[in-house]
Amino acid sequence: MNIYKTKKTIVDTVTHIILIAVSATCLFPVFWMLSSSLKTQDQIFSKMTLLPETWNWSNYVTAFIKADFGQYFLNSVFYTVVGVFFVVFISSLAAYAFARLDFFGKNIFFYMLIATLLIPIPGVFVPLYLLLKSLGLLDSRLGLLLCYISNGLAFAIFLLKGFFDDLPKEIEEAALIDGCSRFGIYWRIALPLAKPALATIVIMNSLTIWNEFLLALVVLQDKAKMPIQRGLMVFQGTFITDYPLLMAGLTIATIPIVIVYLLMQKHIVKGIAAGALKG
Amino acid sequence: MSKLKMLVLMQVFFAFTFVLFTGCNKESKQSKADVVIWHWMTDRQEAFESLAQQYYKETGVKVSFETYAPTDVYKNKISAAATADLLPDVFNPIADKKETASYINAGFIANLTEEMEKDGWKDSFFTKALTQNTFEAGNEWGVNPGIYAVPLDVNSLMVYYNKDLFSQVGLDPENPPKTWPEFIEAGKVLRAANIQPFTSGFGEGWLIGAFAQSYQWNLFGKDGVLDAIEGKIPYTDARWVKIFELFAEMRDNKLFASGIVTMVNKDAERSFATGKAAMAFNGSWGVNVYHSMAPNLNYGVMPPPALTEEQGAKYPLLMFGGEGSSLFVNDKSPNKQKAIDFLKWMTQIDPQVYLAKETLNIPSNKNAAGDLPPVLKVFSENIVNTFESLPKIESWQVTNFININLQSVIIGERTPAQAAKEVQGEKERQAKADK
Repeated sequence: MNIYKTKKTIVDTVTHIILIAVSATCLFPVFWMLSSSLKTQDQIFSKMTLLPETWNWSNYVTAFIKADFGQYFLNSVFYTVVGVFFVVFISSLAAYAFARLDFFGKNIFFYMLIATLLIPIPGVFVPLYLLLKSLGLLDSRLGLLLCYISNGLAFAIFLLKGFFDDLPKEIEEAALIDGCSRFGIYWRIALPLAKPALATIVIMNSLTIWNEFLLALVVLQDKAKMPIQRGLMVFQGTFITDYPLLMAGLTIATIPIVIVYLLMQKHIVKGIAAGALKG
Repeated sequence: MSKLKMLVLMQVFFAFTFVLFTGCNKESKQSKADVVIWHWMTDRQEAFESLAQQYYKETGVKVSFETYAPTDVYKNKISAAATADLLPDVFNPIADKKETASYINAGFIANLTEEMEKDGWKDSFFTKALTQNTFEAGNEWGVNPGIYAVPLDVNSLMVYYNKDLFSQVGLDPENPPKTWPEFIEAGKVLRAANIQPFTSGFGEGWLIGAFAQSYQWNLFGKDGVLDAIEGKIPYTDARWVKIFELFAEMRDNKLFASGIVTMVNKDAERSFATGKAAMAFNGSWGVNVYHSMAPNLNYGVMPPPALTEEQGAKYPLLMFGGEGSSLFVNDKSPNKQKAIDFLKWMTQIDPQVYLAKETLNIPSNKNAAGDLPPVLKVFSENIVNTFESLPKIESWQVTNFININLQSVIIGERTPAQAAKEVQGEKERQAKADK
């Protein structure tokens, strides 16, 4: 018994040490960002200290004003919320159709869709630009949003199809017998059961859209329509980077997405537990 | 469940807002500027905007500078806009001569020669500032001969040295080493005092190559450099072996900062700015960088130390440099003349002096260089000593091999003779591939 206890203590201690070390490596860059956001440019280069000598809170105000975050912030919230909504809505419908309906060319369509995951965004800049031009959607919010939505669909459909495939058909058949329509089954049964997968999609797409910058810069010209990442650009020159303001700006830009993650984290944990019982 | 419903409701609300937003706003904020300039120089945006305002007051012409950075994104935007025929009035494809030629041949870039000839505009520039974007008659890309860009600034690469560290070890800060033996001796003194003598971003191949090229000009002269490119002089020539030996000599005398072969220039700049290295091979932009990192740094600049006659130097030592940032005028733009007029105004003495002071770059207008901070003035005086323009350039594969082998010599992986042989091997492979 004592040997068992000792073994358990050793294993637990080693596990905790490893976990603490991993956590430290994850958290240190965040800590460094926060610390650097309060330093002066001079301090960043000349004194490699963990904490700032003087705490320059004014960096946040300067960064907010200089980067014009007010406008960009609203734009990013808008792109993220609307973009994620449509990704979730369209992908869940499509995934349910791929999982449960039989139609001509189902597998070909599905694999073609999955194949689009292999194409990196920079590789489609020129064709996208031409497409948006011909649709009259260049330099418009709608044009950028359509790009974001189409970019998020393939993976979301892939993830949700897998989830719907694993749902027991008996539940749906029972609902059909009770008079539920096909859309009713999707809306009342499949979608609520897929909440964990939906939470993952929401988080992943929120992160992607919030942090996206390259596509916005290519598609948009009007500064008033640019996302928050455009604001961070002003701190990075060709040869010089204003690190304190960049770090303050990054902190400001990171806060909303951290909040989204914390809100959705509960659903993910629930989802894992639910998934464990499902089989 | 109620929270999920609320979330869904909120998103539906935003979705409707989105429809309204996009429907009403599409055309409301289109640019109303007479001349639109797309550029990538984020750190110069404020200075550019200030000049645009001044120009508007003087002429009533509204100029808009729009920044797209980093340069990779900017290049993507330019190529996408060119494909869609939506380029702005002024831009820069940020491309080599071959790619620039394709833009010119597609009719996207205006030939400015005629305008440059008017009122002596062309003569106001440093000659080197124009060479990069000048196409000679009979060029291999079939471009009509002429000048195709307006340079805003020029740059060159020299050796920065920390005056305080020089004084600390008894070296004269006002008389930095001029010759290679003096340079090695100064390095030894610094190393004896536990100071890293020399740093640079030699992890970035082009910087180590730029340093070596100075000695290629020093030993071979223009004809010799060309002969090497044309394969008439092999890279196993004793003079090329000598160039590799210079790096071995620096290594043997412990002149290099630790980790120099993997060091990116940003780290080398930090090392010099924080006084951890006494000398740094860097470009004229370093003035701005060091000012940002360490405003009180006490430093000077010197050309790379020249080889002596005993070491075989028969020609002057030249430096890497020339044109800095340039702007091109869209030949298809209805505002072409307004764009040219603005660029002509922007490269006159007063705006150039203003730009130089605000951005700490060397102006392309040679008449505006008289009022520069002391270090920048040394750089501008040495623009005449930058490499001459050549009708041919070495293939990137061979250039890459030279840089890699220079790094190999520094880490002791190859002897100078072995490194020279490796480069010659690549040169022969490329010659065969070309055939």
